[in-house]
Amino acid sequence: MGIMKRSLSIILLFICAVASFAQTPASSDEDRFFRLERESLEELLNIKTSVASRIPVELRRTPGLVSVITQQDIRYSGARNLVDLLRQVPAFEFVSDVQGTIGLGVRGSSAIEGKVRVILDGVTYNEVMYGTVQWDRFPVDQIERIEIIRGPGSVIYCGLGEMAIVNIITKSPGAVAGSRVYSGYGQMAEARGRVYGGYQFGRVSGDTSFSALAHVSAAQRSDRKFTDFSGSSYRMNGNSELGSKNLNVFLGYKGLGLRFIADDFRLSERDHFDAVLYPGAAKISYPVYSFEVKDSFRAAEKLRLESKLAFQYSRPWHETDRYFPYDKTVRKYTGGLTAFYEPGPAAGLMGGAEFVQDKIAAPGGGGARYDNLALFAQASMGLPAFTFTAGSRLDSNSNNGTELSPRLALTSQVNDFNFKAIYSGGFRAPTAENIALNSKIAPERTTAAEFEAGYKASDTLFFTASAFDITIRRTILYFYNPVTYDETYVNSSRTGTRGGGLGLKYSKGGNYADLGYIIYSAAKNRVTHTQAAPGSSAVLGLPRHKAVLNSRYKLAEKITASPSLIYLSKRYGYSAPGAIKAYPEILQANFYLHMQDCFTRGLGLGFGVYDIFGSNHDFIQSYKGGHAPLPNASREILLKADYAF
Amino acid sequence: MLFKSLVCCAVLFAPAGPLAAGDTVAVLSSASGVYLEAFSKFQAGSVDKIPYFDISREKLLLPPGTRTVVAFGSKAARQTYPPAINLVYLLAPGYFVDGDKRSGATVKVSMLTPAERLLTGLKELQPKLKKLIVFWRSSAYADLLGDYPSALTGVEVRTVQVKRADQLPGLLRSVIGSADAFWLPPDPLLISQESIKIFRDFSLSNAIPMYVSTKGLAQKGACAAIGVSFAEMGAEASAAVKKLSKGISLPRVIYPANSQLTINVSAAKRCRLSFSSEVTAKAASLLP
Repeated sequence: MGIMKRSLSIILLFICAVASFAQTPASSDEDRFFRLERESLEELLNIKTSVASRIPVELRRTPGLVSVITQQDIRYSGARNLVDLLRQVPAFEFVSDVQGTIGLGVRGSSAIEGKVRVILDGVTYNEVMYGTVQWDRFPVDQIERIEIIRGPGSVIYCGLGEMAIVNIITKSPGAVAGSRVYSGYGQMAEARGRVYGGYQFGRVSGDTSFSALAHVSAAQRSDRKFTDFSGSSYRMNGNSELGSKNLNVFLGYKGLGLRFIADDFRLSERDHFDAVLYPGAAKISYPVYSFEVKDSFRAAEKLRLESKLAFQYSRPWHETDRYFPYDKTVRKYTGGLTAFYEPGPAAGLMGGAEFVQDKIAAPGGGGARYDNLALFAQASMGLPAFTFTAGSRLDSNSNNGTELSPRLALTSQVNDFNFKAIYSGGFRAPTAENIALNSKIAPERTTAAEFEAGYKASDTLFFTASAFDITIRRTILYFYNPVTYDETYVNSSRTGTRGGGLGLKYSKGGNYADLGYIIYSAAKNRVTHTQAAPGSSAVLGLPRHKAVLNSRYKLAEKITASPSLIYLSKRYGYSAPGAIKAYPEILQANFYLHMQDCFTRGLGLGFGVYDIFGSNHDFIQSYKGGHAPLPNASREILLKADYAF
Repeated sequence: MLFKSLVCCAVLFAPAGPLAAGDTVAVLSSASGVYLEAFSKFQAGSVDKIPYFDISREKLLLPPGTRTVVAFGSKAARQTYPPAINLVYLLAPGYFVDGDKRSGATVKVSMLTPAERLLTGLKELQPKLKKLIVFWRSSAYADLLGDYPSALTGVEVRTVQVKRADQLPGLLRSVIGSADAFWLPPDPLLISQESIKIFRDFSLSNAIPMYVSTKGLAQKGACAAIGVSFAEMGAEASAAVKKLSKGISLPRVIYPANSQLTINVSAAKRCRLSFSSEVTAKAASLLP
């Protein structure tokens, strides 16, 4: 009887609840309607990305830990370059590499050579010889959005995507819709920081679309003083130039797209190894020319095919002066076919094949050719409580043999709560120079377990917490002998990190704040050349704690202020051959003010101050590589203008 | 925006004025978003501090002596108020309080732009506009849109009811070749995050201009919006309260005199619309 009474009570309560809900549908519809009037957090969370699955999926459901930097984020942040933008991602931090270049560290692991794949409009920007990326070459004013996988991009990207994927998408013809000119000038404490300008044109006419994006810039890494391990120093003003010329032309007709990119990036530097400074500035260029044809068409109602043919000519690390001459040209041929089958809203299947051939030529002979054939497939199925995704990729390389990269993901979103659990494997393929210096070098292997939980506490607040465990085996490591000048690459011991992160997003009425934090421990790292100390939880060059605050406040209808903060805990790095020291923690503050349509319609004006408190951030090498910390820019004031017509 | 927020905070946190006989009380569906924006303008138009209730957080208890309630949102308008109290309500698209059951005045501040004003505005934006389709879903719009078809000579207006969300693609296909543009009234049942994407994609891919009634929806991809701003509705409510306190009788529905124009330049370009400098000069907002 008691049970029956209780059951009846529950049923009555349920009926009452349903009835009361049914009486107010207009109110909830109305709330949703009026929420459309304001930039909502929901909109940010519902951004769709295809970076992890090739099929557009909302951020909270995509089978990967994905961050998206939108055009709005880029515009209002006042970022001077891609480095500024990526430093806003807590999992990323930059370190120095060689010859005045910088590389990326991901979740406490150095990822400078061939471990993070960077793609711009479908074109891979990791150069073929070492797998590095020239992070200062990308014009941020051309970018529509950046999609980032903070973990292995195994099934879709593999090879060079062992630790993260940075997918850059430039402005489409529809996004430009007309013409736009822009220009900027940055002044560091003692010298010009940068001057740049560009022109963009885009038009959509029926099924045809066309865009042309052009950019020229002349910047400097820093105006501060560089001091090598022996105490010799020089001023970086005039010795750390970063120059970029870029043209990106797209023509589209229905599903067919043709794209041509000419990108010439140059830098100058005086930092040789250990105690040796070049007497003059060495000039290095990295020209890349790419042409791609892509077609997407529906073969059946639920089946879409995407084909791609691409050619790329590049001359990485090209140096003709007397300091470190290097002249190798690379021709890359790519062909691929991917099929997308979507039998229903809760299921999707993607699979295909990709063939890449790299042909390397050197002036005195000694060229090489590497072929890579990949077969890949990934399926996702929506079940009542969660979505299950499974995939695998098989890479067969003419030098490295065969590698299998699996991926399993569980994603779930129930009301305001979402959860992801991902297991993936990946590898870092030896690059051309790795093989040239050590023909027996084998791919390094990565396995990663990742978890993320998110909770939308209100219409304006969203919290996330994440954890990761990454293990890298057969770590490919660079060795350099300062006495004999011999260098080589070897497969070293196990490395990896464990850690976690916290995030908070706030969005209300055009005001926005994003607070992120990450901590890692590298206790499992057995590679002595990257350890801060034997058995240490820290690795060289990368802080164990990083916190980032990005925010945006609408001061008035047309004026937006964007303060941002980056906190780096203590870092370790070489201060002399064989001597490691702790570099103090840093708090870097930036501020950018953007005015839109203030004096005339279409005109945008920006004023920014970077490193307001003069933290004098340095890039520290993440391995025993013989280079002293590379100074980043001093306090810089930026003026910027753009006009759309 | 910060200035607006500060004003709103100042309005909300300032001590409410003493409640004298004949005083007015504001009832907000929620003290946030557009309700707050309209309320702050309403408050600015009143000499006395108007006490308010946020019924999303607290129980409504009208103070003794209340003569007029101003309800912001249909949730606030749906509350049970003594019949003798005047009720002015706004931001309740598609919802009507039955004034026949009340002895006090019942006045709705409409979000709709009157038919002639709207069509004249659209004709200025798109001089070749001859056939316009108006989609609607909430039943109240069957009557509300009654005078639109014959409002302006030279523009043939056809109203189309969307009974279910899954009908949308089919109904939109019928627009091709039969209309030069379509307009969406502020109908909460019709417009959602999902449906606005369908409308926008259809509009941009077929170059058929979509017009809406609020700036926020123009930002979502409509070519233009002609509608009353939320602040303007707050000001209109304030004026209505003043008239009622003077004993002036008002119609059941009042339309604010000013509509604002928002133009979405990129969407308009994709729909092959170009505007004269006179038209763009009229725009309160020009979205890039």
